Order: sequence, then structure tokens, then C-alpha cells
Amino acid sequence: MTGQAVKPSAPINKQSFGYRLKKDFYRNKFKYLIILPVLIYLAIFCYKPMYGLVIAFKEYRPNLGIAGSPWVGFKQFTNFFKDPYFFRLIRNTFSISLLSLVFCFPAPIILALFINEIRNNVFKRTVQTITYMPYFISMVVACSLVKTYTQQNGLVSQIVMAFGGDAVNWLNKSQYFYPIYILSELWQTVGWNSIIYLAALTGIDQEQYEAARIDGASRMQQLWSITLPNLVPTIMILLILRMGGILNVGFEKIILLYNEGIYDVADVISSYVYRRGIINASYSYGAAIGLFNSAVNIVFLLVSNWISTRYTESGLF
Amino acid sequence: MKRTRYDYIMDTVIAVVMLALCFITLYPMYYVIVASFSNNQALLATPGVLWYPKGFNVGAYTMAFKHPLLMSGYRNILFVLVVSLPINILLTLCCGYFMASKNIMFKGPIVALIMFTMFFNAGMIPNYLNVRSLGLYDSLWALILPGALSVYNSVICKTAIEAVPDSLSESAYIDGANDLIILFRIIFPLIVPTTMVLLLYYGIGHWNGWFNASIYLQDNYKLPIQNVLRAVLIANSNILNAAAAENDKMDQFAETIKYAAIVISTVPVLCIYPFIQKYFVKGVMIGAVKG
Amino acid sequence: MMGKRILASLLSMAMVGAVLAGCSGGGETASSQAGSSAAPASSAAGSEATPAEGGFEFTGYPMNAQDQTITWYGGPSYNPNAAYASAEDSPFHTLLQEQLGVNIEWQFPTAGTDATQAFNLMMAGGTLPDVINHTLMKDAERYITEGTIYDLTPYIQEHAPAYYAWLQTDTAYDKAMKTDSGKYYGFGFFREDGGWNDTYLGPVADAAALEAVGIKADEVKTISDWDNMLKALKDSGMSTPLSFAKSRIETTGISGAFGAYGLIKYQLFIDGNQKVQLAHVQPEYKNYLQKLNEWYQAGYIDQDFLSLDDTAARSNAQNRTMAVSITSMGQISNWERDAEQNSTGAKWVALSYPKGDDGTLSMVFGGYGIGEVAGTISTNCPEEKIPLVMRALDYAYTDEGFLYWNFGKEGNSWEYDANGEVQYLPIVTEDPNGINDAIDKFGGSTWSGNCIQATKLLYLKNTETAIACNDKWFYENEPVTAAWKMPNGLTYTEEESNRHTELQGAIQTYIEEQSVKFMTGEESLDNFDNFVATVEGMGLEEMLAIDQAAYDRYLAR
Repeated sequence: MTGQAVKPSAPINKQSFGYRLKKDFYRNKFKYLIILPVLIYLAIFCYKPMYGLVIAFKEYRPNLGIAGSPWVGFKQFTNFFKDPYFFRLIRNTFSISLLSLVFCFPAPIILALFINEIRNNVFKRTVQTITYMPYFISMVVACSLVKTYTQQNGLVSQIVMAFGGDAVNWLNKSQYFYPIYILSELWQTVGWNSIIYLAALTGIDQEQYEAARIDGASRMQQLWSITLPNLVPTIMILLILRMGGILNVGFEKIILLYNEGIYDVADVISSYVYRRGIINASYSYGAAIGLFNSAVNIVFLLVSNWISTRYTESGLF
Repeated sequence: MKRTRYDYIMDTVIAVVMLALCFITLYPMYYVIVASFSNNQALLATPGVLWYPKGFNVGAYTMAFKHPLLMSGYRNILFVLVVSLPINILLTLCCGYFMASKNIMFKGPIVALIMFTMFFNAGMIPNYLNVRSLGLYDSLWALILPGALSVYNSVICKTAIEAVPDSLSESAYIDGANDLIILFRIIFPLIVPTTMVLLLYYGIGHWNGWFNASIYLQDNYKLPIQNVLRAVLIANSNILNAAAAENDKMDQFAETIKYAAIVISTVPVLCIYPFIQKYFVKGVMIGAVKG
Repeated sequence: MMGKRILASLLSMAMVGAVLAGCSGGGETASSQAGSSAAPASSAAGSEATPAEGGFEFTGYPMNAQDQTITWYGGPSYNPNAAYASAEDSPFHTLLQEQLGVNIEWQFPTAGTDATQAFNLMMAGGTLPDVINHTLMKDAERYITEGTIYDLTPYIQEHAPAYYAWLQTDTAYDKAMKTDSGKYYGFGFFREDGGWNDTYLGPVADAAALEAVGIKADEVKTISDWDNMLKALKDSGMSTPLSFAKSRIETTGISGAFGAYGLIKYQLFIDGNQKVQLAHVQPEYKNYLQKLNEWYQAGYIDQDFLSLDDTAARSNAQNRTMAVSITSMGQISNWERDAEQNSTGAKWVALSYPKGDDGTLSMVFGGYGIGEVAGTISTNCPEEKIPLVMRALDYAYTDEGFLYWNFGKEGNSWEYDANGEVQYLPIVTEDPNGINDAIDKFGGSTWSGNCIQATKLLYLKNTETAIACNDKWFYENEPVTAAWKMPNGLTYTEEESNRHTELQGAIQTYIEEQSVKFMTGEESLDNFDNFVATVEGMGLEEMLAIDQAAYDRYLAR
């Protein structure tokens, strides 16, 4: 817009590539200048180390360096696909990821809608503040709280016993791992993640509501026909970003919560990479799994972006 | 406007649900505070519901504050915050501004390069070698530079910039202003709320982060506070710390110190929070990054 | 449209490539600058060493080499006491420099960082300190061939005479510190008692609680006695008679009573025919699990044991919610003090390691008195500096150094009493956090190090009850204590090492999780045969063959 406003009359089609290049540079030189520090940063801290990904195709030996280590082709990858835990890792990672998609993704939206409906400003603020708070607690601490509560004679057992259930150690049972994981995740992030939706809600044009009220729409109807549609672009973009991280289940929380008894449901790609790649020093193997992980993520990102742009007309790019 | 009975019912339902949620969220935090002031053994004996400290005791705090690395830990994280937040914001503004601009020939590919890094990273070992080769190893700069820009935050920033009416920058162009002036003099003042929220996003990230420090630092005196508290936490756990099993040492405050550590590491953040909260109302939006 | 995009992409790639080339150039300068700024320590030391080359004459300690600096990675073994921010403040580390007469730049995993992670990243980074101490015995041969650490054979007799002499006192010591091809690779950790303290854990009971149900702790000998004891305790209303920190049971527990050789944690053992075996696929192991499962189902075993650590176990002991446990000497000392201070009435004593009803006892927790760590010299250390570094390491094995590594500096933390015995001074005995915590402010041998651990240290550190416990665990079963044990100091070739890591990685995860499941009953023991078959399918035979070969080579050393 702005550029064309300056030079409106240029007959674009007939110009050579070189001319357009020159013109673009002339017009946008400050914009390129502005993005330059970002590109330098990315080059040094993101793209330069990506060269190191070749160790996924090598048998990395520290004393030989990245360049000097022997090539092994796809050996690391085939080893991973043949790994007895391959399917289990994929299954667990997807399970946790999808469960948190189903529960942890909509929860902040619902919370934001609730908060938005609160009329008393002091109460509104208080609710916001309180729900953000758990996000400030670091992971180690949050997980040790979870462990304390799920002991055989802990808080959860006491509540269950009050309803006539049995006291057990909840983290020792495979079937309870996902609920515990998801609930603690919700507790920690729901408030924080609702920030972005709340902001989007305040951006909605108030005239739409007024018009609806004049038409006699109830609050529920307003919610369905004004609030939610206005949130869709935000929701879709966050959803796409989320899909781009479908295989990223943080290893830290898993490692802090799991034990041998529940490996079968709790062991995920990242925790396995940490155990193998860092603790067992199979650097190349770890790198290969990491690469596989990123590749799958990107596929999910692109597919979900495509679906979203097609059906909701809002997409990340 | 007249309120219907239906409105009152709905308000009540909302209030009740929200109160319940607040209680559920707050109780564990309350528990932490109460537990941190309890007697260690009494606390271990009663792992269930707690409403008041079991055998009031501040031993855990005395112990934690005696830790030789606590002060340097606060100092280091303060340094990291003071130095990196301006860098974070500056890069984010640059990145957001570029992504929000139109009619740039190479915008598509450049944006693609930027977005690509959001989903694809080199992995721990290559990043570690990179930090070493840049001479940042065992320096606080290793906690500042590698994470200097979050693309996610840039997308938020970009969305905020897009919300600024084009007419403002257009008239500035006509007055002879360049993009630098437009970004910092015209747009920046208008997106202060977003900037504040981004400050909080970055700030919390720095405050809670410990993993980078654990791989990039060598000297205990350079550790930020989170790592120090982590050391306090795992020193007494032979599940997290294999050495403790053979070492046979244990603190008399092993359990309560855990909670004291939470309080110590969370209170400073909670103190800053109210100053930023007012900006939350209009601070963060997110939108597409079309090239 | 697509074509244009691709073209543009390529173009911008090229652009960034240019930027990248520019900054990677910059990066290199930065790194070479960093290299030169990091290097002064070593290169300066090197250049100072050059005039002294061949001129470093060892004339006794202190060595008068204060102008030289040794960089020394201590690993997890003797890291500074938590009361000190770093080694520069810690008496043991600073005084050691004085005793040696050389500057030491200490490196340890930073506070709160996993030691294995720290070591592996350090190795991946390539810039190594002069001395590296870590549990790297199995890979020593590989590190020497790769050129990561020095083969010390040419230097050991001349520059580490005390250590060499020590190794000659027992062929097992010498064997452990050599690779298969006969190369000395490092300075190890040894226990003066030859293995007494390798049995530092075992079964214990609250004698008072047992008496209340009419059982004498001394008479609990067999697994049937245990059955009766646990049942009686449970019937008397105790919620979880048997409780323990997970780390205390996962290695062996009371497997010996069943002819088994381990529990949960991956464990190899040597059978009667000198064959390496995996503990978890033996039929005896099934019997062991069967019993544990029975106890677990009956509520004898604490359901929380998977998440219990010593802190929690200690609280159970103090609150007397349990009466039988498996724990260490150090913990027994703590429990005893708690019981006295709070007059809980508990009286903790050792139980015998239970035998099978037919008198079987295959093993108890124990070892040969040789640790798993080795202090090695990395090839980053210039060759002319090796004699100096060797002398610095050798100190621990001299008479004076032995006392220093265990107790600290004479006159500072200890002195001889009238009988000529080491006695701690008030600076240790009156430490506000207790003697147990104070000991490693001054000494470096509490549980691992590049030194010989004094038996006296253990006597000073633990209460009499704790010593009596260990005596019972160890002396009653001396013949079986370590007979089953894979010796520390086997080495793999590079190929073996890689393959073994792969195979073990998978097998370990599987057996550990299944063991827990069998134990808690999540998985029925009827499936034990399937379990064994699965482990075999994961390449058990191949893995054991590697271990067998390494063991055979070890025997042949």
C-alpha cells in the first residue's frame, strides 16, 4: 500500500527483474535494514547450528568433530524405526499430544469466555490474576506437588476415599497417568493461555453487540453469533501453531513424573531422546530422532494450515 | 439496560464456576505457603489436606537463605533480565514490523525463513557446539543471545502492528519519515500494551528457564536463581540425584525447603505482575503471517 | 506462482547464505578469539612449562609449582559441600592445592545439574580439562585409541610410584585399572577395607515393634520368618510394615534368598560357571517377584515405594508407620538419632539377609572394594605437563595424601589422639549441620574419589549401631558378597561399546518396567515366560556375548 502510494504510475508488468529489484530495494531499504538484525540472529543461532544436524547421518565422535565423524547414511533412522519402542513412543507422544489438544487447547477459550462474561471488574481481575499464578511456578516444583498429592495417602486418595473409593498410589497406575498429566497441565497453563483470547475478545467491535441486543438476542445467542466467530481467526492460528508442535511433548515434565511402572504409557520421544542421546551419549541417534520429530511436525503444520485456509479462510500463511 | 432474570441466573452460574476454579487453582498454592512454614517431620507424616502450618517453623527459609549461591543467583537473573529484555523487544519489534509490512519483494521467502525456525531446530548438541564455538560458553551471554528472539512473540507483535491504521504511517511517509522513525516514533507508542505483555512473556521465560544454564554454564557463581533452587530441591532426593543415595546426607528440612524454594522463586514475579496486568486487556493478538 | 515462490525462496536463501557466510566468518573470529582467551591458561602454562621441560624435578610435596595450573574435572565424586558456592571456597579443594603446591582450576557439574549430562556434553564439546574423573572404565580402551585420554603406562612407575605400589598390593586392583591390552588408564577409587563398605545396605527392623508382636529380630533368618514377621506386623494394625526408598531396593533387595541376583534395575551377574547372565531372565527371579507381589497385594509393602526417597523413608521410620526396611548405614545413623531425639521408642537394628527356607543365599549387596570411577588425563594436557599431573594424582595414594583425602589437613580438621588414632577436631564434630555433613568439607573420599577410602572414616562417620548393622550384613555372608559380581574395570572395544549401548538401551527399559509391573501385579506372573522370550528377542544373547567376551578378556589380563 504505502510503497505504491509513493510511486503510483509504474507499469509493473513490463519491467525487468533487475529494475524491479532496484526499485524494491530503493523503496524498502529501511525495511530490509530493520529485518537485518533478525536475519543475522537467525543465521548465527538457528541456521548455523543446523549444519550440526548432519550428525544424524553420521556416527558422531567428539574427538573427530562433526566434519570428521564417519558417515553412516540412514543407519540411525532405520535403527529408530526398528527400535522395539518405536511404535510405543509414537503412540504415547501422540496420545499425550492429542489429549492435551482436546482438553488443554479449548480450556483457555472457555475460561476466556467466562471471564469475559463477568461484569464486576474487581472480580474479573481477581479471577484473571489467580488463574495466571500457577504458570509462575517452575516445573520441578509443580511436579513434586503432583507427586505429593497422588501418593497413596495423599490428597487425591483422601478425596476418593471420602466417596468410598480405595487409596492407591495414582502415579503407579498406567491408566491414571494421562488424567494426572492433563489436569496438572490445565492447572498450570489454562489462565496464562487465556490471555491471548481475552485480548482478542476486547478487540471485538462493541457495535455488533449493541445491534444484536436491539434485535433481542440473548447473551447465549450473542456468544454464538458474535463472540465465537470473532475468535475463530485467533483460535485457528493458535491451533495451527499447536499442530506444528504435535510431537513436542516436553521431556522435563515426563521425566519428573514417570517411573518404571508406567513407562508403557509415559515414555515419549523427547524423554527417550534425553535418555539415549544425552545420558547414554548416543549423540547421533538422538539427533536422528530429533530430525524425524521436526519433519513430522512440519508435515502436520502444513497440512493443518492447508485445511484451515481452505475451510475457515484463516491460516497462518 | 434492563436485566432479565435469565441474566441474573447466568451471572450467578458464572460467579460460582469462577469461584470454584479460583479455589482449585489457589489451594495448591496456599498449600505451598502453609507447607513451607511447617515442621518437616510433621509435614511428611500428614501428606493430605492442610489448612494451617503443621508446627510453625521458619527453618526452611533460614536454610534456603543461607545457601551460598542464592544472592549470586538473584544477581545473575537480574543481569540476564536487564540485558536481554531490551534485546528481545527490539528484535521482536523489528521482526514484527517487517512481517506486518506490505509490498516487499522478498517478504515471502524471508518470512518463510523466519517461520521455519519456529518448527525446526538444530537440537541440543549442535546448539551446544555452536555456543562453544562462539565463545559464549560459561558466560551469561549464553543465556541471553541464543534465545534472543521468539518467533511466536513476533507474530503477536506483528498482529498488533497490523492493527495500527495504515493512514498513520502513510502520512508519515509523505512527511518524509523513514521506516525506522515510523517504527519507533509512531508505531511503538501505540503498541505499548503489547510490548508490556511481550516483556512479561520473555521475562517469565527467562525467570523459569534453567535448562540452558545447566548446559551452557560451568561456574556455580554464574547460575541464575532457578538453577540454585533446583540444586536445593534435588540435593535431598535420591530419585532425582543418584549421588545422594551413596552420599547418605540429608537435610533436616528436606521436605519443607522444597516449598520454601517455590515461595522464594515465585514471590518476585508476583510482585511485578500487578504493574503489568492492566496492559493485558488489549495486549496480545495473534494473526496470520501472509507473505 | 509456485515457481516464482521457489525462485524467490532460493534467492533469499542465497541472501541469507551470504549473511551466514559473513557471520560464520565472524563466528570463527569470535571463536578463535575465545579460543585464545580461554587458551592463555593452558598455553601460558604450557609455555612456562617449556623452560622447565625435563626440568620438573619432583622433590616432594608441596611441589613448588604454583606458577602452573592443572584443570581438573572432579565429576560427581568429590564436589564441594553444598555449604560452599564453589571449589574456590571449599577447604578440601583449596587446601589440596596448598598440599600439592600447584594451582588447580576445579570443574564440577554445576549445582543441580545431572552429572552424566554434564560429562557427556563436556566430551561432546571437545575442550577437555587436564584431569577427567568419571565412571568411564568400560570405555577406557576406546578413549585411549581415539586419543581422548593418555595411556599412562609409560609414566606410571616413574611419576606415580605410590599409586603403582598400591596397585601391586592386590592383583585385582592392578587388573581393574588396566585395559585389556594392558594399558593403565587412570587413578581409581578403592576401599581400604577391601569391600566391607561396598555392602553398605541391607535389611533392618525396628526391634521394639517386632518385640511387640513377639518376634526377636535375631531370629528372623529365612524367608518364611519374613512372611511371619510381616503378617504379624500387619495384623497388629501397622499400615505398611515394609517400606523403603526405591533406590535402596531396586538393585538387589533380598533377592539372595531366592537364588536370584537383582531387582528392577538392569543387572548382570557371573554364575557358577563364570558365565555372564542377566538377572531378570532367571527362573529364580520369577520366584522372587512372586513373593514380592504376594506381599504387595497383601499390603505389606508400601504402595508408594516407587516414588519414595530417603527423606520419605526417614519420615516413615520416625513416624513408625513401618517396622522393616532396607537401607544404608548412613540412614540408620539418621533414624537412630531421630528416634533418640523424639523418643519415639523405635530401636533400629540390622536383620540378617534372609536365606531361602532350604538355606540358599545366592548373593547380598556388595562388591570388591573397587569403585567405578577413574581419574584420567586428557590429551588436551600438554605432554610435558604429564609428570606434574601424575604427581598431583599420585598424592592421594601416599601416606600423607591418604590422610589428607580422607580427613583433611592435620591440625586443621583432625589430629592424632593419645592412642595415635585420627580424631576429628571441633570444627568437624561441632558443625551445626552435624558431623555427617561436615566430613566432606574437608575430605574427598566419603563415597567416591581418586583415592583410597579409610575404614576409620566410616567408623567416625557412622553410629555404632550402623557399624554393627554393616558387620552383620557383611560378615555373616562374606563368601557370597561379591562372588557373583561383574568386576568394575571391564572394557569394551569401540564396536562392542556402540552395539552394547544399543542393545542395553532397549532391554534395560523393558526389564525395568516389567519388573515393576510384575511386582505390583499390573502384569500377571503367568506371562513371565513371554517376558523372557521378549527379552531374548531384543538381542539378549548378542549382548551377553559382548559382556562375556569382555569378562573373559578381563580374566585373561
